Amino acid sequence: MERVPWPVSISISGLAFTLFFLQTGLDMHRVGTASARVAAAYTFLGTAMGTAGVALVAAVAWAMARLLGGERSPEWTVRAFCLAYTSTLIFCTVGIIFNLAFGWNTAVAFGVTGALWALYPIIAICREMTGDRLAASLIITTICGGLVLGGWALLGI
Amino acid sequence: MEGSQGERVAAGLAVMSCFAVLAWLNGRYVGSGAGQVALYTLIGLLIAVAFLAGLAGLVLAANPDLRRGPGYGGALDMVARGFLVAIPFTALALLADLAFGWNAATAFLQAAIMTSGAAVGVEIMRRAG
Repeated sequence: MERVPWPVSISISGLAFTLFFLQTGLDMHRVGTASARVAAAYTFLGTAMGTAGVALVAAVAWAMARLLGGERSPEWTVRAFCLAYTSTLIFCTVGIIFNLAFGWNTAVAFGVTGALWALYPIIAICREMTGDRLAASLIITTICGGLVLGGWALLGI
Repeated sequence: MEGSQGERVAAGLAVMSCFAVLAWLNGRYVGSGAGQVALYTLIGLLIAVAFLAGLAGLVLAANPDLRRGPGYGGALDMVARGFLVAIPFTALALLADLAFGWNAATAFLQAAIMTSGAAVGVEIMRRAG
């Protein structure tokens, strides 16, 4: 994990959420519930969510794992969480192609699905941080997933 | 087989509960009235049980060590432990549907099934050493 430079790690989740929120803005613009300016603003919110937001969620996971005796560093946790969103990036890249080329509404089909696909690597990361405790890992993952979905909902989407 | 009998039963019940909840959430989209929703939930749960039992059969058929050792119970145990991964997806589907009002339970169900299937594969490889 240490061999992956942190700018690369954070770029992956940052780009994934940027594309996710861009699709959300485009969908809303298409159905007339958001102006082009609002859609652009969502894109920047996505960048913030994918960088600072994911780092905060990772910090929460690190704190909970620490309570259970986890010894991984906060830096390791943030990098791992950012890289967990690689599958989200793939989904959102494909989604934006369909969104722009065919005019499909893709925020849920590709964006939410992509964000959900990150849960499995996050479970693996939590197992690594908690000494392979499955129940604790599932609880931490649920809380982290809830924070990400809650963030998306709180941003008014 | 790993874990105590109680743990294996708990894992199986947890997985069945997840599918019952996901079937109920999806049943709410297609059914009108409590009776239809209950029927769709039951059908969804039965499909899930049949699917998991069939998957355990495939795991058993493809694994000679399992056939010589714990048998079908061991295969079911692997499948149930792999499908425990569905728990976060189910909890988040409830959150998304009931708290945020998103009609996205189908996306959660699909992601849960695909991810849990991968987790079963990992569980098989882990036990094979």
